[in-house]
Amino acid sequence: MRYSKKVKLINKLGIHLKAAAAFVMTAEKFKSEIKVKYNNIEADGKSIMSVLGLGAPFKSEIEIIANGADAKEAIFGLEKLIKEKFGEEK
Amino acid sequence: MMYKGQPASPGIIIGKAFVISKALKKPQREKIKTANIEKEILRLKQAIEKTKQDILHIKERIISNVGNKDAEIFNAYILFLKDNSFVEKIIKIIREENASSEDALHKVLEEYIKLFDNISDGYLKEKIIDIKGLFEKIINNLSEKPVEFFPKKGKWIIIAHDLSPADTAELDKKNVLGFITETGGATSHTAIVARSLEIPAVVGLKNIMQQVKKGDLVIIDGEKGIVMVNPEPDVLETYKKERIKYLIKIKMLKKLKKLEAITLDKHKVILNSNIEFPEEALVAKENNADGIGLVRTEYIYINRTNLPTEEEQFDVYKKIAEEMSPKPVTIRTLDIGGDKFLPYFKISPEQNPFLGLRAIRLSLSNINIFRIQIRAILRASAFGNVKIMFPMISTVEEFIEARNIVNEEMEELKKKKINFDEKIKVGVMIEVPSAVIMSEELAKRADFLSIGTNDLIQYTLAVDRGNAAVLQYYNPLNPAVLRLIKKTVESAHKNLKQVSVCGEMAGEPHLAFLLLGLGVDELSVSPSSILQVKRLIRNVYFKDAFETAETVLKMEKADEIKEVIFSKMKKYLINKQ
Repeated sequence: MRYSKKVKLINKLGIHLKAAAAFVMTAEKFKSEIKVKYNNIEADGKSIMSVLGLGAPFKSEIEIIANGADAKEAIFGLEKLIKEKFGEEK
Repeated sequence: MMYKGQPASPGIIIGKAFVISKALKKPQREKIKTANIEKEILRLKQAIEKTKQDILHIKERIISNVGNKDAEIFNAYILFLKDNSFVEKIIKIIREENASSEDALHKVLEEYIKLFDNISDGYLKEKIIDIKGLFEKIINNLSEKPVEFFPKKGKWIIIAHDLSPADTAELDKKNVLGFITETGGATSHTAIVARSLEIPAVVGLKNIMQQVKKGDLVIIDGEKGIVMVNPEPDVLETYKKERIKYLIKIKMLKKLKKLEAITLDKHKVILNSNIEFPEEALVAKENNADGIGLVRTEYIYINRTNLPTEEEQFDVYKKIAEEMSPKPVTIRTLDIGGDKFLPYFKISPEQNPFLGLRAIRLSLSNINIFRIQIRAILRASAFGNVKIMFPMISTVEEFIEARNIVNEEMEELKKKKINFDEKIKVGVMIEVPSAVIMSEELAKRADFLSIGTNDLIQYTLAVDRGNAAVLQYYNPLNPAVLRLIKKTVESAHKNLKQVSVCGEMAGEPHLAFLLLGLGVDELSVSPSSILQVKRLIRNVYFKDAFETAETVLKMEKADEIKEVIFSKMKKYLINKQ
């Protein structure tokens, strides 16, 4: 199964260090292969270097692509994380 | 030896140097034998594992000392080290190129540096510092005798090339007496940390690492930005005394924090702070400033490669407004030109930049840039008590034009139903003699006047402050300057408007005394001067300041004026002790 979803980053700092860490830790919970696309660059969603290297800032739109048995759940979980601002702001 | 850097955090401290040399060793480019490849990979994995253990250790220590929040960043580091794509990349290079682990790490790091170079967001781009730091740790752990980056016991003056946020989190604060770094300015991370810990720091001291070794005796004078290495005995004695004096002063000033700026005869002076970056608002608040009298917005524009967006500016202004609310925050529109320029915004070369396209002139001739800033300020006004002021107004028309733009942008926001303070106060900076001469007309139209003494002195006396050859002409006590200030105050008061002084003059206690006497309603000084000016105000009589001002306004020589003011100061300081 392959699912994808475009999500806007609403936390102030974009995908910075701690946000990238939170993203990867969430992605790792799923078996599916996870990719993140920003600015036509594709990153491995389970590699923090790769995700951080996207440099996706505040208000930019990223696309999450999941491929595997739990793809739907993965997309849901990651979208929730982003919408909750990676748990860093109240 | 004495060295001069940039003052970053005040205070005087004497202690032993701990030099943190994290600098990456140059790649050796030695090939390893194919037979030894597996051994090399094992060596790499061990170093990574050791680094992971080190970081877990630090993380635990930080959790028990400071709490979870500061430790979060170390989770990210651990993820880096567990990142398979990263480890595999290194192993691949070792296998394919017969490279040593160190060389392979260097190669991968270069790849990441390139990757981060392409990031356009300035904040995210800087995260490469953390990655570099991590590589440094692994490479250090590859060597047989890893060096200790940070002191574990004793108290030291930390000397480093630079310190990243993670470094300062890792550093055990109880081992640190002060900081000296080769890079950075007053707004660098090191400077902010040092100020929050209230320990002295000097930054931007190039090549200091080569001049000091571990255990050398070092003196930091954080106020002056001076560092002494292995000083002569007499110098050491002097500084020991200076340190005691400083500690006494600090103790006294701390008591002042919560108190009001009010004279002995109960005349309340509004004592504001000038700030450059949002973090300074915290210092202002802590010292119980009545508000922010000047937010310099240039720093938002400087040190970047493109113009800041409306959102970026809004975030900064909003942060300051919220932090200070309900106390007022006066934001000065962009003051570029003169001696400050933007790399991405070139203006034609000028013979006389200080008489050129500067400040409000530049804003009015680049109206789109100006409108973006006005919108950002207006939107922030919904989150606190915000005021706007225009720098370097020299004609009435200029003020009207700038004011009209504010009105137009207000209309636009209304149409879009975006919140802002409809009664926002708009003021004029009085920095040019022509503005003083027209101050009555300006005071009729503006909501307040704010005197920028640095420029007013420079333009009135025709003297370049940066030119040592004419420095003796730059004198705030020049009677011409004082009479211009008096005229400005009278014009403002005649129109029932308040007048503030936000130049450096307000931060010098003896000059603040005179400004008080000249009838200035508000003083705005740097965060580090608030307490000493407050102390002055609390120890003088307004009546006396007023009479002193009346006396000196009749004088014709700066030296005579200086004598009067100094004898007053002497009297008050004697009364004090």
